Amino acid sequence: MELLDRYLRAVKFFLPRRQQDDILRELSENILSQMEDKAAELGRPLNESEQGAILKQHGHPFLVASRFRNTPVQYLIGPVVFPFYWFVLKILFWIGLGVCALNSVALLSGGEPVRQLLHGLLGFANVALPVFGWVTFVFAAHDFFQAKFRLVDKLNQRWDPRSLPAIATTPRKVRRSQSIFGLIAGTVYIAWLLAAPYHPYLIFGPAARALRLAPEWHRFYLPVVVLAIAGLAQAAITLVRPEWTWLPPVTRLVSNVAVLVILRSILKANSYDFVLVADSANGARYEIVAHIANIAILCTLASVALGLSIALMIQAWQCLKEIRQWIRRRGNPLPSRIS
Amino acid sequence: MTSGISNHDLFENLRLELRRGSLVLAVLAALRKEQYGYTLRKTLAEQGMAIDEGTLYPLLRRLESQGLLISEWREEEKRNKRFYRLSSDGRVILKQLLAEWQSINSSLNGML
Repeated sequence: MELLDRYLRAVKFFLPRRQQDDILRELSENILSQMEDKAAELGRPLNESEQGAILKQHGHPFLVASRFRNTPVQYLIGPVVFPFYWFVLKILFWIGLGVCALNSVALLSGGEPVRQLLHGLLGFANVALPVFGWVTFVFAAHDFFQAKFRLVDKLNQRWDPRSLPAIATTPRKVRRSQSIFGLIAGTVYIAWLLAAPYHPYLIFGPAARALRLAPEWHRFYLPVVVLAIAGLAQAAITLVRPEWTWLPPVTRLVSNVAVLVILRSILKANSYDFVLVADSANGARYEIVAHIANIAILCTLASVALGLSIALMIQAWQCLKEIRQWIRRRGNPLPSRIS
Repeated sequence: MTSGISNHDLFENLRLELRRGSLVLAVLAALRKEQYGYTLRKTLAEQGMAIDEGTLYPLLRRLESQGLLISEWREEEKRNKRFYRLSSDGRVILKQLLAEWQSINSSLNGML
């Protein structure tokens, strides 16, 4: 019975130490009885493969031992908390991916595309793994304490259906007033953009005689005008097609990406002289004014870049939601009460 | 099936789930007469309640630790074997479980 001994020794390895002998004695007796029965049925002793077949029927030593363990089912993240955990992981995954993609896009414009792309991907892995670890740790700790102090039971006792949030009545169409406002504001903005190069007063006000924009600005003038026209076109389209609720967030998303790319190029420049003293002006007084204006512009652009990055993540999420709802509505023209 | 599980697999899962609930009842009922693990398994199989070793032997120990069974090592046919039988608590629980099972059975019969 060498095979049986080997099997029992393997099972023993996985058993709780205190119960090892007791379980193995019983298991051994049961298997021996089964083998004796089989031998009696065949009228001869069992060969090794027949013994092996009986042991195989009992199962892998690890599995057999695990069934004798009295430990309760253990989770790192339990079934109650798991949906929240999964939701948070998904959100963080997309945010992380969005930030890295954005960074890669911005870096791509600066040359060495392959190196920068690889750098972006590695950067994502470097950020994603610790985030995954910390989120898992926090939820595992939460799960441990909620099990220990029965927090879910307490929550269930205190829960009141009237405390549930009201269902938001999201408009199924882009509001007419919103599109009209977009058209008016867009037209005024474009008019200002087109007039500004010929009338510096529109930018600098009373200081227009002493200050002028640096030549670098001219590089970005056309893209800025194109973006403004795109915004105007979106407002015009949603006025005609208000059911295209996905269009405003998609336009905002694309515009913001473009603006961030432009900002990146501006901020990457070595010179931060956005405003220069006009040739007609003289005196150190205006140099100081230009210097202060340049610092103010730099701070504003950096803040806008930061704000846009955050807005972009939110908009990306909204875009996905809008597109999903729009596709669902197209597939099912009768909207359900709760969508 | 939309979930990717075939009808056969689905039936098999549900069947096992249904039987799992009845196994404790079958084991307790069979152990009104003292038996050791292997003969108990044979008895259950003969009665149409086949149960694999990996489930039965740990179940016996669990029921014993819950006080529903009593076990004793005794020599039989020149070998030491562990014999199980129903404890007094086990008899009470078995009676209650049988009543519950009959109630479920009659409810289902009423619905079918």
